Amino acid sequence: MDVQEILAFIALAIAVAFLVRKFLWKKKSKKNCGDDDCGCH
Amino acid sequence: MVSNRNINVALIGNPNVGKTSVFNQLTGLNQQVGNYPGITVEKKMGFCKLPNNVKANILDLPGTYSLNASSIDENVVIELLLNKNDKLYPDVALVVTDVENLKRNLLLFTQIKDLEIPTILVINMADRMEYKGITLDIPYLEEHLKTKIALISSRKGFGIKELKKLIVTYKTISTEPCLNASSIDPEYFNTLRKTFPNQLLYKLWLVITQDVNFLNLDRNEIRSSFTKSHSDLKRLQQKETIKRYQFINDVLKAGMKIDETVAKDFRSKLDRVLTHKVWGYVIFFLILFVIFQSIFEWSKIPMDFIDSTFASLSTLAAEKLPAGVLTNLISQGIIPGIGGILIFIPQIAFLFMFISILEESGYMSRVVFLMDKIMRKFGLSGKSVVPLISGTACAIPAIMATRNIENWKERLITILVTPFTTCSARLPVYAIIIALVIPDTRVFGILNMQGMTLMLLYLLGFGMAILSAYILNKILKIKGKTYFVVEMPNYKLPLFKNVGINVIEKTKAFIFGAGKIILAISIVLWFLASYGPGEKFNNAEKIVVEKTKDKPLSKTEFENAVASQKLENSYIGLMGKTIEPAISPLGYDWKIGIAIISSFAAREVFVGTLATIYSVGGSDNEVTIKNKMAAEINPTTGEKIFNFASGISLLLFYAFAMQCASTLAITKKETNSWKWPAGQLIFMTGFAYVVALIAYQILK
Repeated sequence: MDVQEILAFIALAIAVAFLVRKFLWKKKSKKNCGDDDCGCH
Repeated sequence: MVSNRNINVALIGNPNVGKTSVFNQLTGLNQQVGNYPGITVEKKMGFCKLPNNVKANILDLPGTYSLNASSIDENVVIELLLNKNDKLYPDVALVVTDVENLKRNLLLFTQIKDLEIPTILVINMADRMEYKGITLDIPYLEEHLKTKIALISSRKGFGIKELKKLIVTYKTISTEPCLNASSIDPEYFNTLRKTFPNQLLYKLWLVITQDVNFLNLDRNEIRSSFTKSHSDLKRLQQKETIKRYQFINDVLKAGMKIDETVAKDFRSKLDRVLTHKVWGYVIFFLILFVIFQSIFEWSKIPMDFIDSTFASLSTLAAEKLPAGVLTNLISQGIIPGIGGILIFIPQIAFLFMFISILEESGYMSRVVFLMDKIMRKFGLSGKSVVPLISGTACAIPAIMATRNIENWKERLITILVTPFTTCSARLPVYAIIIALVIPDTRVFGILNMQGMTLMLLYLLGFGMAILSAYILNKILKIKGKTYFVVEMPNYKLPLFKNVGINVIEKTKAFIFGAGKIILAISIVLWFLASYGPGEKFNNAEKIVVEKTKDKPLSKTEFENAVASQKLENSYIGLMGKTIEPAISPLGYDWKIGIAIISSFAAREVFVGTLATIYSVGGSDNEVTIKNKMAAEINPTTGEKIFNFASGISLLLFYAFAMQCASTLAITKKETNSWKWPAGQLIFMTGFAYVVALIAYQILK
């Protein structure tokens, strides 16, 4: 495997990771409602 | 002494008074502004350095007419103002008002004052006072409204310095309410005050009448002790509003003078024409017509330039870079893929320029008013028009904009049908297919056929949205009433700066939002198209030699035949061939099938995908994307792949299909259920398939 091929496969790995993160695995945001009896709907 | 902590400054006001313009002026940011209500549906935060080294967090809140919340975006404001524990709880509130609608805008101001938050009254659009014959007695107003007043023009940028100086002095501003609203029922409010002596009376009143509670109190305790019947509470709320307006009227009688002889009647004359039951629609149609003609006409030269530049760049990369896999990836995957999106910059920019001018001028609100009449017949209110019109940019913010629709049924229907509106991501697909299958000719010497087709597709999307709304209105059994109030802003000459910022921001969002996805997909597609399993791929040369031994080929013909053999047996070729039986009745080959699947991530990926696939497996004779697509031949029929029948079929498919993963995600978020996005996906894509099938079978 030459240098070009290694770099191309690294680009592929980055692209796949980006797409997986974008569409399949998303961070869930935590909603901060304060300390007391709040009315988060 | 000034504390090291940043002070929190909240911008509050009725819709369309220019809060976001003030926000941009204070923070130097470029949040989208428009001369129609409902642009801001979520709070946005910016930062501002004030005099005396005071630093401030500036919070831009959604527009609200009062503290009696009826929609989600209005709730955002009340929840913040009632929750002292919120880290963004304002140290000072800037109630932004429009000098021409001061009376109505002051209702909210008097309510905020009752919450005993230091409040500055910002009177915006002061540059129009002379034109409208308005004079204000500022000292009188300050005295009676118990506040400090900043007279500004966020459009012209004057008064902002003075406003900043005023914010710094927030601790000296009176927190005393400007009227005694509890006099509407003294006995009731006195008992309330005695029972909860440590709580602010107006907050208690809001807890009783609204669906919010941020006090350290047992909500049930308040309600059980002080509950009145629903109709009694409504009656009291009405009395409260009347009392506030009486107070405002008295103050403005002495503090504001309008010279009617100076005020010109230009607005009402123009309104009569633009919202006329016949001429209003004719003018709107003509404006749309001019927009779509111009989008095609003006974009031609820059689009051809971008297309040929990327084609040359691809050739240059292949020639100058050392031969190898990475060079192939760059020249056949990345450059054509990115070129497939950048080519549409001119059209996107022109579209947003026109939308921005319509918004800025105040015409968009007249369109909302006009459309309300049509919408009601289909079971929607005029408030649904704002999301449907903003959907021409992108369905995601448009679906979020439904938050100001109070009625859940109307909101749900609007969410479900908004993706039918032609978003900017459809534009690249439409533009390239129209350019390929619709002749660039003129009817009657002026009507460009391609522009007309584009306009028809936009109208088709809008028509389908309201037709689906009608059906859903009949099917969904959810009850509820709603009312519709539309702000009719004044006509203004669009500011070049605002239009420019809007165009740049929207185009940037389109390019960078889609660009990253397209770049990643182009790389993956190139690999899938350049590698394959088994003998048929690995021994492509041998197989071609074998097949053509009786018919010798030139060197170029041989290379093209090998590329074609490899592509067909690559991973992507095999995937495409698997789905081909399902899409061939629509007139598509496997390559288009792959483009449709990959464009499920985002519609605009369609062109980039085809550009990558054709670059890997196509002939080198054609360099630009358009020419490569035009040259594609169906090996079975010998006809062009992109002919009139398959082109129309594709246009209809993209007009109706739910080809956007992000829209499904936002629908899930806004409806809090997978049921609705799943229904959207199945109905829209199923309908698109059937319509595209019928169109192709009739036209072929």
